[in-house]
Amino acid sequence: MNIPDNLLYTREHFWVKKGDLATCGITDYAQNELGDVIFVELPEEGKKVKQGDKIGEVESIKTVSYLYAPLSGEVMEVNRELDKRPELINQSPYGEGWICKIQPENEEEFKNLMNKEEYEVFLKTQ
Amino acid sequence: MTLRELPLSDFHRSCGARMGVFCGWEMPLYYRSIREEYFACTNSCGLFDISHLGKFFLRGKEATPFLDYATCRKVSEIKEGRGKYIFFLNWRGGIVDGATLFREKEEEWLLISNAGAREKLFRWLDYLIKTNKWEVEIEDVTEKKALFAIQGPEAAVIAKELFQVSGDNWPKFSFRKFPPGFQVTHLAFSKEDGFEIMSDVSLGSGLWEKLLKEVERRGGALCGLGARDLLRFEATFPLYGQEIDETITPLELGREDLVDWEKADFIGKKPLLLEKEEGSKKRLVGLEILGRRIPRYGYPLYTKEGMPCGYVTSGNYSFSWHKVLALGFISSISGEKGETLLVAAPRTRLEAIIVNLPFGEGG
Repeated sequence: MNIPDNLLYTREHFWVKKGDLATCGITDYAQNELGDVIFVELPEEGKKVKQGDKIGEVESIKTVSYLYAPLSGEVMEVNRELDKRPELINQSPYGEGWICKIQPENEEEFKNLMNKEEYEVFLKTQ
Repeated sequence: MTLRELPLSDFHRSCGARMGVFCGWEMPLYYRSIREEYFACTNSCGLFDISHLGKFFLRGKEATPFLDYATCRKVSEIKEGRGKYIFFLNWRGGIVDGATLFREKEEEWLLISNAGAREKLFRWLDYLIKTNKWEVEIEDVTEKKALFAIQGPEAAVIAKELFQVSGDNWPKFSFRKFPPGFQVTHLAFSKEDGFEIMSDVSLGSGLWEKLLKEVERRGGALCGLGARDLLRFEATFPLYGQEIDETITPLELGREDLVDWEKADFIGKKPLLLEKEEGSKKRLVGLEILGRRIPRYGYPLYTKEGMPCGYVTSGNYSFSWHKVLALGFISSISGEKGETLLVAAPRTRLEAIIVNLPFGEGG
């Protein structure tokens, strides 16, 4: 299980990379749980979202699951490559398989996210 | 209900299998990914543990006439060493199970059933035998036998090499026995070629190791139920609990070829004859879905005008055809090839075009 230590994590298995924009996607654990992803309903570009909102869906051969916004803010960019190659989520969940970039509106919300060690402990409860 | 474990389940876990529950059994769903395992089966060979399938022996003086009465195909014509895919019907002509039946000896038969129908089928056959006092004994050996499948273009090479068989004369649905107790059948639950190998559980792990070595040597892979389901789906083979249940008849399934009308009598013959005269109320159709959402079992189907007309039985994404496809039953008055139907998926409706079955043959 790959859990990079430079990222933050949500209970809904999203990762967030801090920067001018917060880049996010689903974790290696989540992609492994989902199995082969064949479709991603991406969040809407320009949409204002609240932390915890449903912002999209991932359809795999096994199941369908929601994507939940890891932070409040505006969705500035989405990974259109996933329309053509949804399997990137399985192949590179922290890289080419990123899902969207959010302009965070409240820095305080980062405190609700877990670091690598906390996420590892959380996974043991799953 | 306690979960049943495969004899080799520790091994599957140690190979990184993602386990899941299927029909009361804890089964490997996939080891690496369904996609990789699917392509192993289309390009080389996949190895599956299918020991969860129901396995029965039927023996006795009247085993053959009994089976001729209990199934809708003419089984008395099956020669020793051969088998057929058959349906057991209920009194209304609905399918109790679709299974493979092999003639071991003159009056000894091996029956391999869907995992989900095992207990029910056993009770049904046992009831028929007892109420009509047939001289037949039925033994459920499901948990005494290991059953493995190899599927893919390399499967025949592997089977022949492992069991030192030469020549090409190994017809489909025929089996051979090899010491110290392997029964090898030329058969696959997919469009690709394949073999199924049965042994006592005690010989299972040794057999599995040999098969795995050969499969890996040829670039194949361990495969779970995910790939198996996709392969059977593409081949349009019905699965119990989805395309097959007691409310579905062979005619509705489009498999009249598996009904032998010449037989004097068999369970379900009268209602089936009536259905043939009057026409079936529903039928199985193939659907090509626009977009990449997968319709799941039970999603309702509507006509374009919004009238309810049926339901989905299976949906999947074909890695070979790059399409989402589905199977479903629709009422016989609606829908011809090329027509559009709507699938009611959660929060959305999917457009679906009716296509020919089996999939991949002339669209």
